[in-house]
This record gives sequence, structure tokens and C-alpha cells, in this order.
Amino acid sequence: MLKNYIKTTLRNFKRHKSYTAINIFGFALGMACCILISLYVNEELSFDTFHEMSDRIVVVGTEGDMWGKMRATPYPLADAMVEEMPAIEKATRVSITGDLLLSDTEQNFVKIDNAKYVEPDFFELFSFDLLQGHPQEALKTPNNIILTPSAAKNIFGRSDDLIGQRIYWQRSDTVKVLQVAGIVEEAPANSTMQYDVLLSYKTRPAAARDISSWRGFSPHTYGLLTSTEAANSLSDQFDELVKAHYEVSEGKEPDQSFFSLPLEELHLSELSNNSGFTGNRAYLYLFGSVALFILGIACVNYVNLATARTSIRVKEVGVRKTLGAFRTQLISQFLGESVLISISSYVIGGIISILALPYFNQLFGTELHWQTDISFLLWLLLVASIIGVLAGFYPALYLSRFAPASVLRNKFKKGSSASWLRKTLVVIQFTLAVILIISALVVYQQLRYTQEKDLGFDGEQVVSVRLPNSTAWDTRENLKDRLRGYSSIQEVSIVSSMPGGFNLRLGYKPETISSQVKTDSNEPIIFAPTVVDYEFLKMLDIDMVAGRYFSKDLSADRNQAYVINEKAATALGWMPDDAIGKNVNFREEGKIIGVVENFHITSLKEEIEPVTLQLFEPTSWSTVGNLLVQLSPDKITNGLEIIESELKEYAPSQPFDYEFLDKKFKAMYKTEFRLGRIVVLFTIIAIIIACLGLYGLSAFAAERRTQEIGIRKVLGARIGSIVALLSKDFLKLVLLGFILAVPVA
Amino acid sequence: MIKTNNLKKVYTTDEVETTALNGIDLEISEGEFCAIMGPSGCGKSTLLNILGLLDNPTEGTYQFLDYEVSDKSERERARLRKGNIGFVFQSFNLIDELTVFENVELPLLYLGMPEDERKEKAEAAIDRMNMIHRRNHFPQQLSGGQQQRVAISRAVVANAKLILADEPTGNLDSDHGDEVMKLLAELNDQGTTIVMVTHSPHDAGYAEHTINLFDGQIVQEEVEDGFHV
Repeated sequence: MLKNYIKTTLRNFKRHKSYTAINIFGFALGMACCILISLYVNEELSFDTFHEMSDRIVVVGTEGDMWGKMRATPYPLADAMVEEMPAIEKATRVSITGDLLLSDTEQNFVKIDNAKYVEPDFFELFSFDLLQGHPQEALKTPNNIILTPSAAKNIFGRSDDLIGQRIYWQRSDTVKVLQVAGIVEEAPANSTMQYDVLLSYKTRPAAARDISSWRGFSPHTYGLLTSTEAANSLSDQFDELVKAHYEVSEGKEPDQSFFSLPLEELHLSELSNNSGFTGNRAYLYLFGSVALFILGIACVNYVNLATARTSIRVKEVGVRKTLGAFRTQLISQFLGESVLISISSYVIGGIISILALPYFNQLFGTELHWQTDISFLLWLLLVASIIGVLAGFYPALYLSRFAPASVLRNKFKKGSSASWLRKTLVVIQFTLAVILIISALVVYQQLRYTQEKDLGFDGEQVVSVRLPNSTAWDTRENLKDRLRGYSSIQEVSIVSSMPGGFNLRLGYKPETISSQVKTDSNEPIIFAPTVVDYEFLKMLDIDMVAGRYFSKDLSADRNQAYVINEKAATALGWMPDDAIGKNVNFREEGKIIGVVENFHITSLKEEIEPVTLQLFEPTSWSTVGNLLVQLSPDKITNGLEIIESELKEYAPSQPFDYEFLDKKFKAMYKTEFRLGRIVVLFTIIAIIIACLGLYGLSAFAAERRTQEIGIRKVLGARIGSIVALLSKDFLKLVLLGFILAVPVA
Repeated sequence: MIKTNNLKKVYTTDEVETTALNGIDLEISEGEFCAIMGPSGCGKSTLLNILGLLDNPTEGTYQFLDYEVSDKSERERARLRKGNIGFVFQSFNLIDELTVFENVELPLLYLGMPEDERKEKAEAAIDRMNMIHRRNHFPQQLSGGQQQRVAISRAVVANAKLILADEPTGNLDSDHGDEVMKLLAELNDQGTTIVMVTHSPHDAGYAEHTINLFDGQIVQEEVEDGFHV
């Protein structure tokens, strides 16, 4: 029987090629989108699950009134957790140190991006394989370093026989010697813990270790639970721990607490380092629903075409029923047909997705691989079959319903219910398509806004370079003078923080800033401070709103003056003009001499923050600063070469990294631009599938109305009026879809 | 084999009631060749559908092989039809996607017969109609007469006791029509009961029992040994 069904189905496909092609191609496109998005979702959900004890590892963070939730924790926390919390079996610290300059020869330093200080327990908690070296010993002694094969190749040109080798580490003005203690496998792409090199925790400078302070927050702390059930008692045990180590006044809540979350949930939590489309649950839902939208549109095509073609299939239904077929047998035959279509589409969609995966990765900024994992493929096959059943269910019920007595004597009249359903589905389909089109337009409009929005400063042709070391910062006036001597350089400014790179925030209670502050709130105000120079304002073309900028002629400006932005004035309850001349104390006393217009210091997505500008460097700061250079538009390459050679004077072996300020801001929107392109792409796919279905329906309608068209032509109808007649019905439906979609979108 | 009593069929469409059959009393014995005649719309095909268990009567009783079947569900009727009743239609009603062999094999498939047996029976039935050389052809590749021969093969393949033929020669020229009628007569000679709806007095001449319908009622009934009015 099954053979008979399959034969009938395949021959039916062959006889109605265009119908089958529309269905399979539409489904396959939808499936390809679904497969790719499933790969992405699967990858996102698989983060950190590869650790053997992943279900028992928790990430611990600090929650404070002032800062909210953060991953930095006090140094003593890890030990205290093991000693005082019964739920914790082990705990380990990891500190991020960012990029390192390493070399095997004391020259030609290579920049290694991602370095972490880790403790000996590291390999006991996390399942990263140590390819060479001893997991228990490698991290016990200071100045030990473990390399990934790629980092090793970068530094030594090879990755074997390196245990015991020396590595030179340039840290601002000094060079430290490290010893290779192991080679560790590269962290998998679906690990939140990423590294190029691991340093033994004891290598970390003692000051930064801050071993006894419960008030300093730096290392990330990971805990290993005694059992998965122990997670329930963590919260209470943390409360006890806070009580034991912080002084809490009677009747008051402690101003900070600790929280934990399972490692497996870290990637999609607010604490993860979101970049692009990874680590953000919202994108998971967004792309998941887009995939379902598209698949829904493809299913609608199937239902529409299958029910529209009823007149072709009813004879078969009549014959089979006459010969003794039960309705259930016919239903399973038709369901089988739709499942066959969906499975063929799955195979073709699979091929499309394999071919499209590199483009998908480029677009999504992901590194997904086609999963050869059989369970994943079977799972997709199951989904494809379910989709086949869902799409085929109504057509199967509808077709199998006809009584043989009427259909075999050609008395069959198509039911109005199916035609109503078809019309409704076309309307839904186009409503979905129009919603996607409108969403795409909205996304594009927002992107244009970010492009056209005034940043508050002019960053064109301004290149920014991080100074190589503190010597360069300390002698910055000389460096500026030298650079100004070149014709390809128009203006030079050296600042501690620049737009797009304000890393420091300081909070002050209003009453400590000034007695004349006009704000009722006693909450601390967070400022973004930067040390600037006389040229900063002119170079970035930032306008003054009130007062004046720093002047070389007034010596008081050098160490007792502040310029703030409008936002800072507002935060302190002052109009820009009122602020001028006010005595303030931002760690050091001074007078406000000017207010500048607001400018974006991070991305456009963030609100403008209060900013303070000053010429002097507070004693407590340690910065190496940034060099901003405005280049002549026609001599950009030459200008860059000059900057490079000047900076090499300070640190010959350091690589030269530069960024154009306007491009840096644009780069912050990389994700949004990608999102825009993705939405447009999916919209196009959805429209193609919807149009395919509509084409199928209208071609079929035209075929069935051949006689009517002939009669009309005989009676004198022109081609135009016939085209209008045939298009009218469908145009009405598409228009209705549009009208419905606009308010929804 | 067939016995109906006061059989009525009323169709209700758009609030209009149409009486297609109005009090049909009929008896057809096993081995008979019965022709049902009458003008268009007199209820011939409705009667054939009810006799063939494709439809239920609105009123009255129908005994098929001594079973009362007038109130049976679609599923039960389908079960009774299988293997007992074969159909031959004016427009052949072969499935276009299936070959001659597959079309003939279909009733046996629904009877759940094993493949070997199916093959043997289907080939015998096709051979009986002299169509074995066309066993792998599709219906569109055959002439009308050939298609009807395939349809007859399909009707007899499961050894049906009753063959219902609805204007079997209506779409054929006279030569092919005669050929089909001879085949039916031959089957009847071999013991199969045949009930045939026809417009053609020539075809009706093959039958030994003729029923004339008008407006849903039997107006004349003729059996070889005399008249009933």
C-alpha cells in the first residue's frame, strides 16, 4: 500500500511539475532559514555545556546599590566560599588582564589579545585539556604561562617542545620574564571563557591582588557546588557570608551582596560580554520567530495550492473510496504526500543551508559549523515531518471528505469553505510579509538616524592612537610639538579619554561637589572625567555653550579649572550660565570656567553622560592617554607613517594600532547594520515565498478559467481587461493584507 | 441478492427538496443481468449509487446479500463493498498516475491481499480482457475502449459477485461499445450479477431484466418471461 501511495505521489509530482516546484522550493527556502537559525540557536544554548561538571559550576558576582550587578568580586571571596558555605566544594579566581606584548627574544613583541590570570584549581573546574604540562603544577608558581597552540605559534613559530622556555613580557617600561608551563587546547567557540594565554595567578602584581580587601572588586569568582541541588541554598549562605564580612548597621540592608548563576546560563545572561548576535536572548527570540514566520508562509502556500487543486484530486478520492478505501487511509495517503514534500524540502533546504553557511556566518558574525551530529539532524528531520503533517492536515481532511457518488459523476462542486480559507490564508501571508517589510524599513530608518545624528563633535580625519607607555604621556607636550612640525598633520591633541573611549567613571554625592548644588536628590552623580589639553575642543569642533575654554594665558586654568558639559550642569541643577564661576570639588578643588555642548562619549545607544574636562592630572590617576591627530585629507597615509615612526621612538617593538574616530563610532553599530541586512534578507525571502504561492494560485485560477477567458475574448474583451479581471481578486487580498499589517507593524 | 422496499432518496440543497427516488421496490437475483433505463434525471444513477453502497437511502430498506444495509455507516459500507461489488463507469475513472496493472491491483490492495497473490490475480484479470500487453501503460496512453476494458478488469479482479455499470458504453463508439457489452455478457454467463444503467435500448437488449424509471419511480419492469407494470 505504501509503495502504491509513494508511486502515486511521485507521479503526481511529475505530472504537475510547476506546482511541485513551487511547493518544494518555497518549503526548502523556509527550511534553509530554519536550519541555519537552528544551528545558531543550538550554538547559543550549548554555551559552556561541554565542561564535565558544567551543571555544578556557578558564576558568582557582586551586586551593589551604586553599580548594580557586576562580575568583579573581592579577592577573599573564593576562599571564604569554600570555608564558610557548605554548598561550595571548590572555588577559583580568574582575572582578566587584556592584551599582552610577548616575545621569545626580548625584541619583536607580538600582541596577544586575551590573557587571564588563573589559579591551580582552574583545570579541576573547567574541562579544558592541557595538551602539554602538568595540570596541578603548571599554575602553582609565579611567572608561569600556559599558551594555546595558536599563541605559541605566534610567539615561537611552533607549539611543541616549549615547556620551560622563556617568554619576555613587555609591561609599559619594564620587561618581565615568564616561563612556559603548558600548552592548553584552544577554548571552544561555545565557551564564555576565552583565552589565548593563561598566567599563574601569583604572577599578578601583589597590589592588584589586594588579598585581604573585601572592598576592592576585581577577580571573577567561580564556584563548584557539592551537588546540583546545593544551588537552592546558595542565596541564604551568601547572606550569611555578607553578614560575617561586612559591617551592617542595625536595621539597614547591606549595601552589597553576592549572587550566583549557573555557568550554563551565563552566556545568555545580562552579565555576558554580548557582542553581535551572541549572548543575547532577545536575538534568539527575534531570529527564532522570523524563522517561524517564514516557515509559516511556506506552509500557507502548501495548504492553498493543495486545496485549490482539489478538482484535480477528487476523482482519485472517488475511485479509491469506491474500491473500498476508508477515509483514514486517504487521510494518511495525503498526509504522507505533504510529509514527502516537506522531507524533500528538508534535504534541499539542508543543501542550501550548507552552501549559505559561510555567508550566514559573515552576516551574523558567528562561527557556526554544519552539524554532523546525527541527533541534531534527526531532530530537524522530525521537525520537517511535523511541519509536513501540520501543512498537510487540512488539505488531507478536506480532500478525503468527498463522497464518491458525487465526484465520480462529475457533480463535484468545490466547497466555498476552502476558498474562504485560501483567501484568509493569502491575507495572513501578506500581512506577515508586510509586517516584515515595515520592520525592515523601521530598522533602516533607525540606522540612518545613527548615521546622520550629530555626535556633538567632528571626528572626520581624526585618528586616535593609544600612547605606548607612560613616558610618552609624561612628555606629551614634546611629542605634540614634534608632530605639529609635519605638513600632513593639521592638529594634535593628547587626552586621557576620548569620545568612544571614556573608560573611567567617578561618582560623587552632590553635597561633596559644591554647597550651591541645586538638586534635591542625595544620590551620587556619576561623572566621566578626562584630562584634556588646549587643542582638544578645537580639534573635535565642540562648541562652548557658556563661559570659556582653557586658556594658555591664565595659569589658574592649569590646575584649578574645570570645563563641564551641559549634561553635567543639568545634573547639578544649574543652567549653563549659572554654572560659570562656581567652586567645585571633583576630588580636587577648582572653579567651573566653561560649559560645552553635549557630545557622545560612548555609543549613540547610550544616553549622554555628565563629563568633566580638566588640564591637570590628579595624583591618584595612572593613565597613558590617547593621541588624537587630525590629518590633512590628501596626506593621510603619510600622516599615519609619521605617527608610527614617532611612537616607535618610545617603544620600538610595539605594534602600531590606530583607529579613525568617526569609523570607531560607526563600528559600534556593526551589529545594528548587520541586523538591518539580516532583516532585509529575511524579508526578501519571505516575499519570494509568498509571491511563489500567489503565482501558483493565480496560474491555477487562470488555467481553470480558460473557458471563461475564451468566451470573453469572443465577445470582444481586450487583453488588458482580462488581466485586470484575473488580477483583481488577488490584488484585493494583498491590499487587505497590507491594510491589516500597517497598524500591527 | 438485492431486495429493496419502498426506497426513497431526497436531496436537500439550498432549502429546496428534490425527490430523486420515490418508493422503489426491487428484487434482483444472483446471476441476473439487469438494465435500468429511463430519461435523464429520472433517478437511475441515484439508484445505482444506493445499490452500490456509495450512498444511503433517505427512507426504506435495502437488503444486500440478505444483510440490511440501508442504515450502515460509510466505513461499514466500504467494508461490504470491498470484494463484493465492482464498478464500471461511463468515464472509466481510472487513476491517471497509476499504470494498467496498478489500477487493476488497487481493489486487492484495499483487501489487504499479499503481493504475490495480488500480482497473480491482477494479471489474470488483465489477461482476461486481452490487455496484458498494455499492463505497464498509463490510462492516457490507451483508447477509450481499452480504458473501459481495464475498468472491467478492475471490477472483476476481486471476484465481485455484483458488477454495477453506469452507462458503460456512453463514451465509446459502437464497435468498442459492443465489445464491452459482450464482455459484460460473458461475465454474466460465468455467474456474475450485473446491474447496468443505460440509455441505449441496444445495450439493454443484453439484459434479461429491464427496469424503466421515471421521476424516481419504476414505471415498467420486464423480465424475460413476462412483464410487470
